[in-house]
Amino acid sequence: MTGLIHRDLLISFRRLGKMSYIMEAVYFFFFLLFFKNAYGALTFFLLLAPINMSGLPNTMKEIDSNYKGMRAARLLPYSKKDLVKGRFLSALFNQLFYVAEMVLFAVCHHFIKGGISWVTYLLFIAGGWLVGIFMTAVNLLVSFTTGFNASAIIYLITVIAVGAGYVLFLFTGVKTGILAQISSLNTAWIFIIACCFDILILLASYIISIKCFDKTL
Amino acid sequence: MENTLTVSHLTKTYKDFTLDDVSFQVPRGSICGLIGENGAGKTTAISAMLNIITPDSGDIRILDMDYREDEKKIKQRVGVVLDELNQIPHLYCKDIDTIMKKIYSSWDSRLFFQYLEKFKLPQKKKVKELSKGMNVKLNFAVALSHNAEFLILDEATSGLDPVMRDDILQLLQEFVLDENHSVLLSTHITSDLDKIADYIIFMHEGNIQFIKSKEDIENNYGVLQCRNDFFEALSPDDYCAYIKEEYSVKVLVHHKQELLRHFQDLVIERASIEDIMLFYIKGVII
Repeated sequence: MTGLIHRDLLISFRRLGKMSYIMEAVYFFFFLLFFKNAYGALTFFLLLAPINMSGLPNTMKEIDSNYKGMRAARLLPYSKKDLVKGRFLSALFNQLFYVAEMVLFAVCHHFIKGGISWVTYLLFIAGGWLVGIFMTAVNLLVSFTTGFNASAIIYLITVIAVGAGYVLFLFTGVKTGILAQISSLNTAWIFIIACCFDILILLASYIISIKCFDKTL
Repeated sequence: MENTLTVSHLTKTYKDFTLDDVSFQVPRGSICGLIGENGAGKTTAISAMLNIITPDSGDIRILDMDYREDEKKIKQRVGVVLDELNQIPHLYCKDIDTIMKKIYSSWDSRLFFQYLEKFKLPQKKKVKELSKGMNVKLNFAVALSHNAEFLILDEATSGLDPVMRDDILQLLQEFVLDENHSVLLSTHITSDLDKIADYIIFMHEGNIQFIKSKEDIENNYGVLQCRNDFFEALSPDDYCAYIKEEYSVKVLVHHKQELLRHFQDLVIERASIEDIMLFYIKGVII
């Protein structure tokens, strides 16, 4: 399985290219140095990071569709189930890079701007990661059940939906005293419910993907 | 003789094509050529062997293992090169080693880099920057670097210039020097099979037309160009197919030596694999 994960991650890394990582760094420093209030951090953690961390399924779908990537993978010593499992694990491992980036951002932001507690940073990171897992689960499911075009459109829709959700979050009642509110909410329960929701979505996505992939190729 | 591949009663029906009860074997230590016109069923048969498609019925055993139950074990020991299926274009040649050594338990990095050097493939070049011929060579390097015992090649050399094809054919001959190694080579380029194949499996419209050793073909088959009256005088037992032309008849004989004993002045030309294929497709089969 490590071979498949390694394959997906390396292909994705090479496919995205240097420019993509330069842009990543630009956003990182923009939100860290120029838009450094609490909303800048919120935007980075809850919008930008989840979008970036959920891109692998779409990138791999492009490789599968345009360069017969999955057909080539079928020649490797793995079962169909392994290939689906490998893709799911790759997508989740890929997120670790972005989680590390969020941690780095939180540390830098704390020392440059301050004013946000470590607990709140932790909640931001966990929240962003949960959104990222949800988006990834949806995009993995789509990548195994539809073609490349549909997959790309649905990825775009999830990005827009998360963006719209974030804007709504900022411009509704939650906006006022946002940090205080987040700290005062019964966050443990919220996160337990969100985690359960993500696990359910991920499991459903995995099972359906295996069934659909078994009928193809 | 022990077989590397045994296909038994393989059947797969599509809307407009049926692979119909196909059975054949690839003996260990041999190079088997799989020939047939476009749409004859060669790629369907190969796809079934690789468990890429699910046949309606039939059984496939590769290296004495069931192709479905032991898929992973089989693929560890089989090298595959398929037409137009190259490595991912965004990868560097050296990346393939990084990936494959985690995938194949017997991946040999040293051997892989030896092949890259032998084929003059730059390690630091991206796959998309390689020519078609270089891509084929890279595919062969990958297929041969995990100590595969069986190579399955589907139109792997098509589109290559004769020099490169010759290099690849030489490589295959070197591969079967180890008597445990075997090759199944599906190709349109029958002249390649004339050079290296031990057995020929001819498929036509989803059926096996014949399976013969090349020795049998070389010793017994021949092409006789004769007048109509001579053709009429021949017994149907003397030939296996014929093509009527305007003033003459082209006859495919399968007991060349016997016929030459009866008609000593006859000129029977050597039948190439392409000749035989054309007779079976275009001619009248007895």
